[in-house]
Amino acid sequence: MADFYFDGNKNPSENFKAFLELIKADAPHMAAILHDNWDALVAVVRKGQRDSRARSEFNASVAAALDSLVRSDEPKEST
Amino acid sequence: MMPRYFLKRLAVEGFRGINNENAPLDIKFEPNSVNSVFAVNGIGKSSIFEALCFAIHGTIPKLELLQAQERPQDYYCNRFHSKKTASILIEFQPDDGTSDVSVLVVRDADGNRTVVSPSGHTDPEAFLMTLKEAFALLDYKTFARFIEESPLERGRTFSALLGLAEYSDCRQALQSVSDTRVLNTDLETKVISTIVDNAKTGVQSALLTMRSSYEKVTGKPLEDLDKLDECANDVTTGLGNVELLKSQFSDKTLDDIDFDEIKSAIKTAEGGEKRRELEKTIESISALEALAVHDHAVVTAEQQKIGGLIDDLKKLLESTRGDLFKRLFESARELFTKGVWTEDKKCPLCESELSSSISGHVNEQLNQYAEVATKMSEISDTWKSSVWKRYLSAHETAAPLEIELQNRQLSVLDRKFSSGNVLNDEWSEAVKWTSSLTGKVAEILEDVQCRKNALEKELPPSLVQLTEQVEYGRQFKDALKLYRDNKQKEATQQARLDIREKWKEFISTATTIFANAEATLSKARIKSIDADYKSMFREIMKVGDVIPNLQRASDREDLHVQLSDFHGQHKLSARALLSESYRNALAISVFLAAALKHSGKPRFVVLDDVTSSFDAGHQYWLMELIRTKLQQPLNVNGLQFIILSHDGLLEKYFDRLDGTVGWHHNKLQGSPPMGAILHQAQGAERLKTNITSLLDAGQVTLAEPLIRQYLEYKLQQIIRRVDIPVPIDFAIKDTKRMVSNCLEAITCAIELHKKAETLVLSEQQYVDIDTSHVPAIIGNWVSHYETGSGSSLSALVLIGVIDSIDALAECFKYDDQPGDSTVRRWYKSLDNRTHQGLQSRRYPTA
Repeated sequence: MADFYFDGNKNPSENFKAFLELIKADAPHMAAILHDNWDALVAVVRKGQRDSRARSEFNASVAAALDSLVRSDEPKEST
Repeated sequence: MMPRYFLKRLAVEGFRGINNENAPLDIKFEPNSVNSVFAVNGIGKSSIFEALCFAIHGTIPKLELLQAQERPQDYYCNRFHSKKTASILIEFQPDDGTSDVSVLVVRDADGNRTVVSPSGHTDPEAFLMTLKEAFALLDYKTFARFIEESPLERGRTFSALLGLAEYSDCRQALQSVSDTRVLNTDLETKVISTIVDNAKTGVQSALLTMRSSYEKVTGKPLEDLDKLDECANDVTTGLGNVELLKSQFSDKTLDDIDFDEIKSAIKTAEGGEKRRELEKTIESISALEALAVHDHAVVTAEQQKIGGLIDDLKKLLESTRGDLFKRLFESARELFTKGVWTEDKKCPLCESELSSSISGHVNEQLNQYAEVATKMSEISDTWKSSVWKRYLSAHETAAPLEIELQNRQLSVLDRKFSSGNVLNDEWSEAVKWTSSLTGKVAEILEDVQCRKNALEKELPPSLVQLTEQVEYGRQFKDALKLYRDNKQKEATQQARLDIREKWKEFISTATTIFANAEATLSKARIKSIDADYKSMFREIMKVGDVIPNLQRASDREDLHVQLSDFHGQHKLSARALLSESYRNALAISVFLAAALKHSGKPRFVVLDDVTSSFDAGHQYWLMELIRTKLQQPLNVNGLQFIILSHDGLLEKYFDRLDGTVGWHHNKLQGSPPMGAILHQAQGAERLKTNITSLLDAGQVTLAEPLIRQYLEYKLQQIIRRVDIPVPIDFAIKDTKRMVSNCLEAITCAIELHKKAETLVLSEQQYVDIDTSHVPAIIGNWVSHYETGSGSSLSALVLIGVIDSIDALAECFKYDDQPGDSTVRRWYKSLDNRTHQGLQSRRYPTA
């Protein structure tokens, strides 16, 4: 597993971007799906409160993206 | 570097306790000073704090706690404001010298919130969002909660305080979406897996039929599945060689051949019931033979496995005590985890002493329930993916077995086994039903084989062979299509399954990376404030041998508060040992240390009545800590502090520092929630204007209460400004006699200093007070209005009273000439002209 640290001098958005960049290196297609659905992910927990509907919506969106990836002819990477 | 913002001005109208219709309560704050705001209880100080909360956070915590039927939405606007509209204007000053930003937040009578920027900010709502930091608006409850709440809740509060709330939420979101059980459900992996299994079975079933029919048509075994097109040609060629069928097969591929048409042709050529029966018999034999694709040995093994699981479930159920007890144990566990019940050797129901751990017992009981749920889930999963289930489905729907719809049992069994809650008897019935179907297949197959043999003997050999060949050809064609369709389906669904497995692996790895990074950052932030909060705690409480310590759990968000040192003892519970004032001091220290490290947009901290649990000494040390070490610019990285308080002792401290470098004080007075609230300068001038207007109009009765208010304000101002001692019960004596109480305190103090020859007032000031101003106020106000015996005086006389009180106040001031100009200043006391001398005499150094 890659060593990764958040930079205390950067704001959360910048650090989240760096995180997405890091995981893109090993699994670009999967990371792209996470990147595209980041706002939906953030909605899953707000102020410590979990929202199960938001979680289902996130996973439904991910499932659709995965199926789209299967249908496309792009090469599939391994994570 | 983006600027951070100081709070420069707040103007409020029609919000909560602040009516101020057409005359907003307008308070100015100085970025380079500690800003204190004092008001006695009920004057609207909390409304100021709530106005800031509403403007920045969009809500008021107190109203958020109300239930819907209490209609919290009706309590945002002042209930006596005629338009029922609240307006909050805030001015912010950036710390980089750029232009101020002003934001006006309005809540109308329908509860709509609008935000505009008079200064022209393009997105004022987004600007306010950037100020939404956990450290900016702090009240006593926030501090009290911090120590009292569970380690998990405290950890979450702390995350927000350290600017890590977004990280914490995001980590939890990632953990939520990477949970394996959740993923299997949301991504429908079990559904897809079942489709793949069914497709595989379909392939095997089709292959069985293909092999059999191919061999019967061509006389050779089907060996190479990669050459199915050639095999199809073999079948076409084989059938095309039969003289009667030549015309139907010439120049056609297998796909083009219409077997029904051929059968019809045969029927026309050599019709007969027995030939049709032979066809049907062959069809039945093929269908029954195709059932062999389900391995009976596997089915038997699965039956045994599920039977064993049901036995295990029965034993587990015997060790639990039903749903009611489960709920009881769950409630008990909640008490322990939230820290509500901490006595582990005492029963929370009857409070009897126990010999063993109650939390251990509860966890053990709940584990048994969890094992039951796991076992049921295991039964359900095993059943759903079983060959047994598919075996029953194929057998019940096989046409030769002729099982009527109402006699089929799979749907009932499926519901039962899928729930995981199955009894031994129900399992036995299912096994029996399966065996009966298996037996029936063998029985019917034997019958149809016999019948086929008999028919073959009865029919002319050529016709038998022809009918058989055509039927086998049709079977091969259908099976080939089925084989290819299922192969395609299997590949597609397997790909969907594979990519979901990759996602599960990916999101799980991503979550671990994120969680580790967040934990590392959190620990670093705690470490960065470690020395600061400990030092602040020591400064406020003046103790060296009580040292708090914050510790974050390595794999959770929990934050534990311990005492690393408690008068020589170590690693003790802070919650158990610290008194309320110590807890409060610890929370304040942690919050302020974190606020200083925070790089968020607000560069101000508003503290609302945070010293309630402190005695005068600790209040003083906290204020001195803020004034000398935390307030900018004295601390170049410091913040602007705004302190709201109702505490009378603290007000004396505020009042004394007012006007000195680094301190700005506001005192509020008024008559909320119906009347206006004004800060002292704003209020006194307005009061005097109103009195003059009323007296000029001859409305003496209306002016009288305002005159009393003005007299009380001016006399108390003299007492505060020149530090005149008052009796301990001064504030709670008969308030109707406040004017004479004040005059008595002032004149006694002057006489004392006069006799001690330390009076700083000039001789003329002394004489004016003694012979002119005080007698005028007593004669024309006190003797009439405090005794209740006098009738109203004329407007002219009352104007004279106002002049006398203003003249009296002037006697406690002197002309200061720091440069070319002359400034009128208050004496700092009756025996001292300047502030500096007073300061060194009264306060020990911090």
